[in-house]
Amino acid sequence: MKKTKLGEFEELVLLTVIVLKEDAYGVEIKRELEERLKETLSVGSIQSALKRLEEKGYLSSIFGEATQKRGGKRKRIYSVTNTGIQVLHEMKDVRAKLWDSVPNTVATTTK
Amino acid sequence: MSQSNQHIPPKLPLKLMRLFVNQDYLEEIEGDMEEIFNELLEEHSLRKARRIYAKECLLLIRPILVNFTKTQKLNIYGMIRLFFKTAQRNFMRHRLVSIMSLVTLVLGSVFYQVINAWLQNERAMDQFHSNIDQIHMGVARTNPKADLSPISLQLFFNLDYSQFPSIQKVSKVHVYRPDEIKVITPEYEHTGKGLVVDSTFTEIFDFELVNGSIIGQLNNPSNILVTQSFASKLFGDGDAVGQTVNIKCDQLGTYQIAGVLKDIPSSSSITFDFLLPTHSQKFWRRIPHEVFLTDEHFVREEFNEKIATLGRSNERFPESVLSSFPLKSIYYDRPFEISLFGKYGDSKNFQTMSIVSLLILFITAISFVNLQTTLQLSLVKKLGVKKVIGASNFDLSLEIVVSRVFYFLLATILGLGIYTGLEHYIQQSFELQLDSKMLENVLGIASVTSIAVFISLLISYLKVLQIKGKEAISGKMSFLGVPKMQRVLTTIQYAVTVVLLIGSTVIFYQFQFMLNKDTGIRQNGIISVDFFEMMTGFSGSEERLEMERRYELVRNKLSANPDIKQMSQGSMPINNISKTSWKLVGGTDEYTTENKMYVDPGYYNLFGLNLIEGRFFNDSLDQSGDLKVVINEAAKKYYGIEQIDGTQLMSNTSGRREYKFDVIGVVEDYHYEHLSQAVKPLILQYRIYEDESFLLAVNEINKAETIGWLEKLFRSVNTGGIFTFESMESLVEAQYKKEELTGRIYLGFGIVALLLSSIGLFTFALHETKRRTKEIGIRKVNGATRLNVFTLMSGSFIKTIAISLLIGFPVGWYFTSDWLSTFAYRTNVSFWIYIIVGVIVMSCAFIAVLWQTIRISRANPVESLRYE
Repeated sequence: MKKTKLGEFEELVLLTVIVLKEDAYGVEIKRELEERLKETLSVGSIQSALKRLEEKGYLSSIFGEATQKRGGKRKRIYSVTNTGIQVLHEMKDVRAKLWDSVPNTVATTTK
Repeated sequence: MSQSNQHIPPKLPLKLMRLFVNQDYLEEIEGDMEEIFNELLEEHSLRKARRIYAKECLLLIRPILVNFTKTQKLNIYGMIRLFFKTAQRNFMRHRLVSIMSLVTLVLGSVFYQVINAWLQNERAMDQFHSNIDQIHMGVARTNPKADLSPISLQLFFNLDYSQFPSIQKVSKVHVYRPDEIKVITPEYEHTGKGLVVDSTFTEIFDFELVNGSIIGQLNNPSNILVTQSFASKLFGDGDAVGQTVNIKCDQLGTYQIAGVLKDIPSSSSITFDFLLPTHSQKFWRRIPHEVFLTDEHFVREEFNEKIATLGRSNERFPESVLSSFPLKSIYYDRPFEISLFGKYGDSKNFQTMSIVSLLILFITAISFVNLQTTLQLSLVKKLGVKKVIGASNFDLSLEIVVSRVFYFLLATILGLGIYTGLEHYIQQSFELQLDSKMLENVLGIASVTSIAVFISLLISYLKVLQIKGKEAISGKMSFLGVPKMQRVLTTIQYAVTVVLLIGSTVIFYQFQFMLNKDTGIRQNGIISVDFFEMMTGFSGSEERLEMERRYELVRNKLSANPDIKQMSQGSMPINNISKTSWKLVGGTDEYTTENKMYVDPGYYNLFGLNLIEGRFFNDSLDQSGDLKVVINEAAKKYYGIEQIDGTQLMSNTSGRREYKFDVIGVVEDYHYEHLSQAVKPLILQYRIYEDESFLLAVNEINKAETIGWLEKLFRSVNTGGIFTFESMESLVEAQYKKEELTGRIYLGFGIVALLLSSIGLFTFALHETKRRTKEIGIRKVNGATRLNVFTLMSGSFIKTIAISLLIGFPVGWYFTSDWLSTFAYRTNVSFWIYIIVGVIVMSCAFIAVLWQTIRISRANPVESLRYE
């Protein structure tokens, strides 16, 4: 099997899920990310990223509570799986190593 | 709760979302959306919130969220790929039957398209003129009983078209046949068909230039327009536009090529090589025709009524009747035959060909269906297994559809390739000159393949519905036997083949019969050479005297040549009739239209006529133009003449005056028309001018030399002219060209039909022998010899053929005798024709089944019993 890859946006969503812990459901993830990225995101983009991540096995989910605000529909709470955490670490390592190899001038000027 | 219920999300996007979003995700996403909607309401107006909600809904349409599961999607694609693979494997595994199916489709569709192309061309005849429904031709009858003649009403009857507001444009057309006009370039003299027309001609008809607009091109009197192919004849590959040519007919003139016309489409009844403007010369000797363009309000009947008697003011034609004829009906109705039209249609031929094309379609479809049914029968077990495993009828029929689409695509592409490759050759052998139209070819070929494929698809589908898994595997299915239907279809197919073959044989015999029949006139070794195209100059002028000198030279040289046995001047006695009005002086009958030809005294010996009474024309007693005639036996009988002495015939055709002619002799009947006609009364008059063609009886042994000698003689009096000659034999052959062609076409299709039917029978045999393998094994174990088995097996097929012969013979007999009855002189259809056709069909069928039957009769019974 070929190695499944993690897209940039997917990585952000995955990290947000970890950050939000028990609150990690669709709307909350969207809100958090919009705040951090300072741009509006569509429900569709968040949802499709979540579904893809779930399909790849980086996320698992359970139904949560139903609130009045949601018209009686249940939330789906996402949590990161071990492989999800593993893949995040791998990404971080790769980046870190790459940053180490970046010449100092570039590393300092961009800061 | 009640508060939130007041502001529910907009219904339509919600519905949309529920429709397409995957059911598994719906609750979560719908909840998220509603939560966001409620938050939006706190910040924005209801309308804005709704708008954002709707936008978000649309943005949800993404492959991963949408309501078809991934697994399903993969299945359909995989299934079709599998089916294509299966179709391909089946094709390879049953290579014989599959290739034959393909050959059937390709052969059938190609030959269908050959006829179809012709039929399409006939149907489209003249339709490319956008105004074809509004173009008419002026016609007149010199008296109410006379034939229609398309002469200019303006010129002869002073008809003023401008009186009729619905007539928009009028053009006179003088037609010059290739033997009447020459186009002279610095190098050569070329012959071609020329039309001398008014500039309105290009507005009435839709003939087009290769470059630019044709309108107004003939306004300049020194312009000439030539067709593309004529231009390349004149100047090869060089640019013709701007070149100067000389025209020589009854007029002389210099013209500049102003434009090159696209070649006349094969669907044009009017043909020509070049167009000349009428006003480039003061006078053209050919009698002009007249065409006119009307608007939509034109009612031909009313117009005809109005102009009917207008021509009587011309004192030459006190009884004349003027009218008009729609141009589009001339092709099929053939009210008159003039050289303006290069071709005329034949509605009977059209019908027959339509039927033949349908027959080809029918035979192809039957063959293909039979082949595919046979193929499917051998797949019955496989289908049974599939059913047991759980395939639905839908799955099985999908497999069939894919396999048939496979055939359809392959056959259409192959057929198209072969047809386009052979188009030129096929059309040449059938002497059809048709423009090639790619789209029509694709449609024609695809229609045959699709019809055949569709019928076989339908039948296969019905068969599949009948399959019950268990029974199919255990070989108990009742339809494992060759279906009765298939046997019946094969029989019909052979019957049709038999009819086509009988038809072509009879036509061929009749053709040979007509070519070889003694027509009562000599046909061998007579050639005609036109030394002087036309009289030049006025009588007494220097030009005329020069021509007379050359004439004497030619005449003396010809009579001095020992290889020229006889000599005459005039035209060959084939299709050279002028219709004129005659009546017997002193008789009670009115004028009737009879056949007349102009001859000179040499005619009698040249063609070997036989005199019955009186004498033929004679140089010492008669002069050209004398009021004397020789008639044939049929005319003598027709007028009830007992004694020719003192008998006179009267003619009024030459205008106002009536002339009386003495009958000086009677010749034995000879055929001067197509042999479908009985010999009709004929009146011969001595009236020959010096410029007419010389008819020469040439010694057969030295023919080639003599023709070489004639060419030199021709050159000596026509410097720069092109020597041509016509032989009587070629004229006779040309006369029966149509019969020969029809015969060839029928033969072609008869052979195709025979091939297709034999392929059908072959697979029929293939299947039958497979099915009976065990049975034959048992027979052999019980002591049957090879011969026993062989006769048993071939017998069942021969029976089928015998039945089709029994059906085909009477039908063929009916059609051929119907066709032959249109000929006054016809060959006897001997029973040999039927025997020959029978033997051919039988032996083809026999060859088709031979291999299979021999194989099975030689098979080791032990092997046979172990079969399956």
